[in-house]
Amino acid sequence: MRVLVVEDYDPVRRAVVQALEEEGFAVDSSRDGREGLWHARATPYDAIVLDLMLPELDGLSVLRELRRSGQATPVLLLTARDAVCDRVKGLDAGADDYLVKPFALEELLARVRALVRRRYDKKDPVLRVDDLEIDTARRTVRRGDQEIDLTAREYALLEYLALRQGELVTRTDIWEHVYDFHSTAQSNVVDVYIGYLRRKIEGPGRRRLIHTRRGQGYVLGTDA
Amino acid sequence: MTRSIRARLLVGTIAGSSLVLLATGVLLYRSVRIAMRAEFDRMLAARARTLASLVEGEGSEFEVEIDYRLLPEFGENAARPEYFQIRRGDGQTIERSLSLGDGDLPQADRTAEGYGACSAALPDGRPGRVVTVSASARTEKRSRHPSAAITVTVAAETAELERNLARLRHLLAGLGLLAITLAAATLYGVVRRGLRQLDDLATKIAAIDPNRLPERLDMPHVPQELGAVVTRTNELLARLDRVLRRERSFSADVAHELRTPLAGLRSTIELAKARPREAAEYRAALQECLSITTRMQSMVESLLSLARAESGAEAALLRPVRIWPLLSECWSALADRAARKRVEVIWPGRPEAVAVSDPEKLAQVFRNVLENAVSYVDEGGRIELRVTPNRERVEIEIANSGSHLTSEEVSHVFDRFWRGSKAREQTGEHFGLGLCLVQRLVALLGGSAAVRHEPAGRFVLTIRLPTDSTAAENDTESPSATRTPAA
Repeated sequence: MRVLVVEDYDPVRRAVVQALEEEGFAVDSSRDGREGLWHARATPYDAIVLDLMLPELDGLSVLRELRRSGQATPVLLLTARDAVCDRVKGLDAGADDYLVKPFALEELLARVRALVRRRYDKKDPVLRVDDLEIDTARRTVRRGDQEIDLTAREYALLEYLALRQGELVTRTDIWEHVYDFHSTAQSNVVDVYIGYLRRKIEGPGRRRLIHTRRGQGYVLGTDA
Repeated sequence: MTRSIRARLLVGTIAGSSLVLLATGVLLYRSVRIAMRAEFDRMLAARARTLASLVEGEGSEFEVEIDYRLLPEFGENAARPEYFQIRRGDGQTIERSLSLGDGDLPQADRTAEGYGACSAALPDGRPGRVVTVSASARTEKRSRHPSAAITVTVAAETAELERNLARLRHLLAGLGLLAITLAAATLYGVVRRGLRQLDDLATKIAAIDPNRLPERLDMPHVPQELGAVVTRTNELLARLDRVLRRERSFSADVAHELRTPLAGLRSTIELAKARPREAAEYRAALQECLSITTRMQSMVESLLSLARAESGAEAALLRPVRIWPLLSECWSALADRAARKRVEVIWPGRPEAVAVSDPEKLAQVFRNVLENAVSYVDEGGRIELRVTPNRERVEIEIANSGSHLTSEEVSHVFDRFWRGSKAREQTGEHFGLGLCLVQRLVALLGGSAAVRHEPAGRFVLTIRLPTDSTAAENDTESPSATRTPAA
């Protein structure tokens, strides 16, 4: 899942970015509101972590601008102001959630995960496709009784496919939601990772779950 | 005595109107009495003249013809007798009324009207008036003698006159009492109505909620006198509102400025212990925590200095301070940073200047001002330090190039936690307290601080410090005076 972090205070931004990355998110970050808005418009993020006090363009303006242009990306506001009116102002400007500094990193990660699930209309943190179970909270995958060990990138790819199960997912979608700006762009990298995933979750004697639509993309599901 | 305006107004107005009524009554009564007496006297004088016309004679021979049947009040047997006595010019009695018998009537001195009058007791003891008229006796025609002068004195009781006057007194007193009662009742009502607005005002003021201060007294129909109170109260509320807002935003700012680095600390620590890491990663995390802590500490120190300077709890220990050595000393701590930014520093001339000030606080002022200049000067820009000694003030000007402030922003540089939008890019680096602290400290030192923005991004901060030349000659080691800040 791809997340944008807009925060001007270096220690907080660095820690949040690293924590999200270690959770398997593809993370982009920005130090000021103008640049953040530009990123948010250019890329279909799964969630945005947005500080309120920002140079150039403050967080509320960024948020209003985003919502005005029809962007529905879930936004988690970060702020050091905890007065009720501040929170109301943030939510009324179109924020989906609110976290007051200083916060626990655990909580921030849980809220971002919840926002991402909501974006794909999933309430249950456990995603199920046939006998494949993906626990998004614990980041574990099992098929039947067997636990499947995935790398961070493989897990991210599977989670994204599972969130959109039954739908056609193009390579561009995968590229945009699973990779960040720092990833080296190789045209076949998606196909390579799909190959790894198939080997780990399908294997002999198991039903095929990842279907290739030639020239278009992939569908995760029981039906061909 | 009573402190109630209502009671004072009532007592005052009622006493005043009573006095006026009393004086009017007395005057009225007196003039009526004078008029009634004069009328009574005129009547007696007329009767005296009638009597005089009955006297005929010349020399020492006089004849008086009185028909007591026509004038029964002068008779022997009158129930309430009146009296007369006719005398010759030499005072010898010509005739007495029968009622008088052998007695004598006193003679009243005559006045311009041709008769005299006075109050006197009548021969039988009743109070009365005596009137004396001068006249001439009738003479026969073609007589050789000139007519003889006579006086006629008439006396009558005044009981009826006094009764009428007494009735008048009672009437006046009664009317007066009635008028005072009515006036008191009316005044009471008027004062009550007038003062009810005061009560309303008090109620409204009592109802003001300090937490909703934008609220103002809304009393459009108050009388002129209270209008001023309402206006002044509203002005006071507006001032209080501004102060309260500033204080509230200050606490919110403090909370924000402390929470942000705390969030940095917490996130950094939580991230470090989330999973096993390399030693280098821990070192980096600890280094980050240390630098956040250092910055927090310096912010807390600034806040404390500011609080002390603003509370006025701290007095300045004033003594002569030489400006240049102190300024150079403060600059030396920043010289490296300035050199890294390739800043050109200009000190045009170094005139000897001595201010009467507190060296520690002044050093704090200089450190903050210079720190500000070094922070906001552009790469390769220039900082100018200029000291101008005058008779009463030393003027210290610190200018830096590369300022991005707008003129609107310049007016905020002394506000707490205010930072130009450029400075905001470095959250945690600057707290927006430095110049605010400078202003408060300079005020504590009896001086003033001002900023101006010149074209081409030249930001100039001017500090004026007092120089008391008599104090400057004293021993430099001993504090020559203390100054506490004006409230």
